[in-house]
Amino acid sequence: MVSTSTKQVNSTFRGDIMVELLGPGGNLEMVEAVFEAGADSVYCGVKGWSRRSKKYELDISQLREAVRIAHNHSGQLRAAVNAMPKAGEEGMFKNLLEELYSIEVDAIILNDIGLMKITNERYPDLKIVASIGSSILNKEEAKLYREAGASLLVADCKMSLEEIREIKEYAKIGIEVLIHANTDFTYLGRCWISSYKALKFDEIDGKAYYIGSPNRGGVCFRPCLLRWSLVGEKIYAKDFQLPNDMFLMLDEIPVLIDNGVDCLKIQGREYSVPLIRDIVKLYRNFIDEYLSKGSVNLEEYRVKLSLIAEKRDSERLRRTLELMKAAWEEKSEV
Amino acid sequence: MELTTNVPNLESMSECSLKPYDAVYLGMPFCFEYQGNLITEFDDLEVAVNLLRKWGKKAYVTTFAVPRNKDLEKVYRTVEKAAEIADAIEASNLGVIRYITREYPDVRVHVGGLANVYTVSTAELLYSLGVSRIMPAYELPIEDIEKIKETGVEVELVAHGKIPVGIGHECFLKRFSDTVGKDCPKICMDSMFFKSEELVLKPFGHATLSGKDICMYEHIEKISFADALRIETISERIGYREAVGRIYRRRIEKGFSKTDFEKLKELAEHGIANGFYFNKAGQLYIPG
Repeated sequence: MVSTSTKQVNSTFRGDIMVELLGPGGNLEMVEAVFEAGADSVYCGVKGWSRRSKKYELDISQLREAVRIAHNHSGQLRAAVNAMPKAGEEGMFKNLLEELYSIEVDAIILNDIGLMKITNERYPDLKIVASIGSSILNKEEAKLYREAGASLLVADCKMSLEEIREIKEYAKIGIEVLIHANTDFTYLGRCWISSYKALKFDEIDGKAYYIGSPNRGGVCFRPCLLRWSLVGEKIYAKDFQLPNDMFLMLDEIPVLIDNGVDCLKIQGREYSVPLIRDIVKLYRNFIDEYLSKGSVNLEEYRVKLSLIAEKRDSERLRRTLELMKAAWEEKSEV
Repeated sequence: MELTTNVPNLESMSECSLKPYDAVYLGMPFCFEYQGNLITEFDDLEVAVNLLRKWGKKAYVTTFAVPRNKDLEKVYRTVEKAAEIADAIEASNLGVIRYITREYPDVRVHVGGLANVYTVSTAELLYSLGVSRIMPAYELPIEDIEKIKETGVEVELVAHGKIPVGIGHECFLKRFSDTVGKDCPKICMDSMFFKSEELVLKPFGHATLSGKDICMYEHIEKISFADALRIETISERIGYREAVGRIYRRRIEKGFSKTDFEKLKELAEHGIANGFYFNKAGQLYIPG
């Protein structure tokens, strides 16, 4: 078994500056691709237990293989168990935890603070990451998660650098920042608009599964991207979308690195392998160039990134339409 | 069983409208800037608490639900004042809950629905910190809530009204100030809705509320294990608070009335729903 507390993350470093580049593993091919492209670590969803469709999650035997790939590349694998289980599924969670520990995952991504406490009590050497879905908003809250066992938290996309610094210092917790992700007008773990619109209750091997609820392990039907009207005494505005924007960060990355951000995360388990490979490769080169030279040609990377963004937007649009159709039809296979 | 409701400011309080209730949450938790918000207007808060005492009600004070670092001192001032005069403090942020239980160990703490308590293990953790009552995550079905109740912590549930279906870092409605011709805080006083297809949402401060009124009138026996039932009226008119409160008071004491049920449906501008109590989409209604 791996003792992660003594295992060094394979981060890139310059002098005393270290940063980990984390890529998505929506399938085994993607796991291999993100390491070949230069990621230090990968995260994979555990079938039925993560904040994505089961299409992009891995079962235990696939996860075992993913761990092998990660370790062959001297990298690490984080298992995402960041959907909220049904009350009373703690027993199933403990069994899953045992399996994940036995296949030597290096860290576990959790959303629920109670489950973090259970994990920390049973496997104190297993690194715990507080998911973006935990929506940790301030330093006092971060400290409570630290006390429950989390050693790293994913910062909300709206958090400023100053807030990140304060949280890191006060709570003595590592910070992960999303550099490719989406941001919307709600905090990520505090949105139930999708499941308010449509929800299908299902089970996988006795595990509850809520299609339409990202918090509970299903997909988000992206209702914010419908065409909306603002209606009061009259129709004040129409044909607008509620904010839900993708971003690819670039200019901010040197500042984040200099300010001690511990991990830069690329979201995108649902995207194609070639696209994710390109994104990881670009960020790998960018980080390496910055760390080796102390500066980077931003304009050159902006051009490359805009081409990637075009491909990404096209894939995202297809997925959004698929999800909206699924919401109308209440399909379970999405 | 306690019947509770909430009021945002002093202006929304009248003896008549609060008569059906046993306890009242004071303050609007979704925005500091709400006009006359009792979580920031401490003179008004004292008056409100005194009025509730006079009317024989318990006074609970709520706190801002989504505080960032910069907001913490402001929230702590609300907590300090509430600890002096109220019967309990409601908090939905785990950091604020940690702060209150540490600094004011004798104060009753009620965990709000936006704290996202989904699991028995989190309920146990919060109970061990010293919280007295939890409103579980709005997304939980009844069978999950019953398991949380088994931990020994008191449970409060929304029986009726608009529940939050999202909360963020800004008031999205403010972006429409020019179009509507009203600025903050006036824009929030009008009844505004976002509509798309069959979906209706109500923006209110940083929160987005369900457009439909969650209504458990027909199903109240199924949630009668709760220690308190909330009539969620923070964004409603005084008349709504009074009418719905009276109907639920009669429901608890005298049983089902078809007339009352029809009245609830009339009062719900965009229809009724069961929320997530029955493992269905929040906007659906399952007839009893």
